[in-house]
Amino acid sequence: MKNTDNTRYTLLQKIKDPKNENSWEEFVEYYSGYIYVIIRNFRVDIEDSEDLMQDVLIKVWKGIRTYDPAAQRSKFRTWLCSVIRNTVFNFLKSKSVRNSKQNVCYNDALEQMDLVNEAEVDKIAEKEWQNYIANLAWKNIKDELSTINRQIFEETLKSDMSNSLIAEKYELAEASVRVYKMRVKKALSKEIVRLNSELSW
Amino acid sequence: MREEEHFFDDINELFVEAFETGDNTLINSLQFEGDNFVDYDAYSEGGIKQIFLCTDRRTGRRVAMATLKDISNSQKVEAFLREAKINAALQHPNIVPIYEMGIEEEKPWFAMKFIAGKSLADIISETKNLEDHNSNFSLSHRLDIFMKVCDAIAYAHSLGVLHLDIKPDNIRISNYGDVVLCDWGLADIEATSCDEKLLEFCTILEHDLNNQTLDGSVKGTPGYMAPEQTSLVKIRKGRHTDIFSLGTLLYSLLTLDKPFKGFDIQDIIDTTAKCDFIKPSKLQTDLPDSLEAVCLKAMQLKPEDRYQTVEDLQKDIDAYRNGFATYAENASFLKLLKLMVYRHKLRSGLVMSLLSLMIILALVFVHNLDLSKQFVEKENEKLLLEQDLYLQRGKDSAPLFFERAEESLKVFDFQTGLRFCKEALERDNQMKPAWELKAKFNFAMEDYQECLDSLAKAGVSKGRLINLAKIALLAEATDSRQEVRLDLLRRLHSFKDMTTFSLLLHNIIYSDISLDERLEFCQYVIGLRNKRTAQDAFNFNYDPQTQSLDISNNPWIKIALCLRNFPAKKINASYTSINHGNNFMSHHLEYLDISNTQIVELKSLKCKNLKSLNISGNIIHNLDPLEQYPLISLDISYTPIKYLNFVPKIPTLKQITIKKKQFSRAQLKWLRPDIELIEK
Repeated sequence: MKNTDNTRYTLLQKIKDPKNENSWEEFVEYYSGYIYVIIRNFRVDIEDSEDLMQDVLIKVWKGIRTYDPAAQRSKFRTWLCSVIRNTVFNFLKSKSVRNSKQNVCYNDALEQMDLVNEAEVDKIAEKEWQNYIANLAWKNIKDELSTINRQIFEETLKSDMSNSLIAEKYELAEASVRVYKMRVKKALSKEIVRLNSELSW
Repeated sequence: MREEEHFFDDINELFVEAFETGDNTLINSLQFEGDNFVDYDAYSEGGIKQIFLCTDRRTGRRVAMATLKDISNSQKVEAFLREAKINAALQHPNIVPIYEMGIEEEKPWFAMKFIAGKSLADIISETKNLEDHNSNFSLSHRLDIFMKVCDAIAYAHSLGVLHLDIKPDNIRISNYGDVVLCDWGLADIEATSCDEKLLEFCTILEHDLNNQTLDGSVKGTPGYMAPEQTSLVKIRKGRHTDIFSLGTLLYSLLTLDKPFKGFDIQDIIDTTAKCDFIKPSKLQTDLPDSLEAVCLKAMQLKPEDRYQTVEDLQKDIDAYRNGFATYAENASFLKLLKLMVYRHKLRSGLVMSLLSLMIILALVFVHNLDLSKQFVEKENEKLLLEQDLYLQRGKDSAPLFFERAEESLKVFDFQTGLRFCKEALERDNQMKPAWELKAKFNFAMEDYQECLDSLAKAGVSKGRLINLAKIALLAEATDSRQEVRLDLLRRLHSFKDMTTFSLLLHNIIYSDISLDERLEFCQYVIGLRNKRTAQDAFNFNYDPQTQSLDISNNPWIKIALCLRNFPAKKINASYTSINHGNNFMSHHLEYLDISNTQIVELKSLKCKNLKSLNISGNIIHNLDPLEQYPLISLDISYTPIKYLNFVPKIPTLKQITIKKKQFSRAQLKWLRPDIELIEK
């Protein structure tokens, strides 16, 4: 991303510094959600996903000190996603062997995963990251918005309700709906850019 | 349950958008890295050009980007850029505006306004398929379009620019009334009337009757082009060519059909050359006579029968639209009266009912006539003024051509110089310096009769040039060409007129001259130019077998400029006193021995195929000029050269001759293993 500031003391560098204890908490706060989303993306159910997320976090905690972005020649997110992928894969494999007859859905998910190669992992990682940051940004700004602004924008996020329908529903002029949406979008864009540069490596 | 479960799916577009809009201030939108033009979409493709739509990041608008498909041909690159330059010189609402042009990775491009809409050709063919032609493409609308194209051409002609490819495909029409003329790829400049800045794009002089485009097809579009654009009709192209094409355009607008059709291209070209087309009224029965007359007048075979200016053509269309008779239809009195009744329906109604007012009507008629007479007079006045201006502009550009002719003389380019002289004189035949310059060219090119004529025009009645030209003219009758030449050079030498001497010399040695003639000639001129005492021997040997010339051991030779362009592969000029490399300027020369001469620098040596060079014994320090030659062997013994670091710069080098101990051991490291070192 072009807004990444290379001279910044990044979250990654902070984590690698053993003296900096708060940094890990910061990482968990921001990244656990992302890890969770990716795991769910591999068609794992809600209960297992929580456990797997913890597993992944432990693996990251152990691996992060040896992770060297220059040597890996890949983005941190790609590395993270391959960690997630392997964790999920091993989990699904053990499950499918154990309950080979009873649980068809593990087999399905496993087969699905087998088809996903490195490049696709990268693609998923990127797309989910974008979605995740957009959601995070929305979560951060929505409470600062006026009720009407928030409601209108939520309508657009949920479904592609046309401006004229929204205008009717909230008894507004259609022009006002467009202006409100544009304002929220601007604020959201700003927050997305900020979050991305804060959390990206 | 985790909050992520309530996250929105597929809102990553917002993320992408956030970065596209960037920092939301306008000032930031002008400061960015990377290309100005992005988001290319292919739009259309022709034989030479490719058009893309792309976004200009600074203005944020979509523009049309033209690029050249084949950049290997430098002529095509020039032609492409020329089109852009000509088009850019035209600022008119009905001509597509050029925004910017440039070169990217050797690929030339230019950006122009993108007209969202259709080409006129598309509209015509769509309309043709409809049953009711007039419903959405009324005659009035068509004439509007036509008049706008006429405006564009009239404007271009006022600057001396000819389009030469007017056709419905080159006219773009937007949904909001834009009518623009595109594709100036075949455009040319009329040197007599164009703006001075455009003179350099003029090609009509040389390629007047050459009808081929660069890619070898016919120049123009069969079906719409004028008879003189086919190679079958030998008439100069000019404004009348565009006027003919405007006629074909009107034809297609009226009939929704091409005027010239055939089985194949050759057939179409043949019918075009004969100007053989079906009358519009045969295809479209309800066509007004006057419009057909306009169309036919514009499409006359002979240029002099067509409208003389676009404005005349427009006047006739206006006349039709305002209910007057057009000039083209040669209307009868009855028709004039009929049209007048139409124009003044109310008035004529009154007249009909009140016969007693007939006199008034007559008066009105006379008055109208008077008005139109005044109008005609005014127009004539305007026309005269324009003609004056036209002549004036031509005259003004004469010195420009003269200047160029003078420059050509300096570089001995006689052909071009003579042409520029003629161009200058065509504009201003009273220009004496141009006549004098022309005389010089004529003399240098050995055209003595022309030379005398030019001098007479220049008002020169006596002088050396006249005498010499007269002598030469007389001698030509009795003596051989060689004798005349040698005699003239001898006379010029004795007068010490070395300027004229070198002009004539240059022309002779670059003309078709047999080997025997050349040998005799060079021998004579070398003798003439250098002081040779009776005791001095003259070694001058040419071996046709090996194509080698030997003039070595003639220490009295200082100047041998006549050896330029000598068709020898080898020249040995060692042990002469020649002091300048330009004596050997030739593309034939491969082996040159100038050892032990007075030459001290190699920059003046211009022999592009030189393979072997011997400069032994000369005081030469700098070998840099040799980098441009495909040199294989080089003798630098007994020269003050101390460094061998020039070797890597001449990759073809295979053999170097040096004096023993000329170079330190460290210097020898510059030699490649494949280079043979000879030590003397």
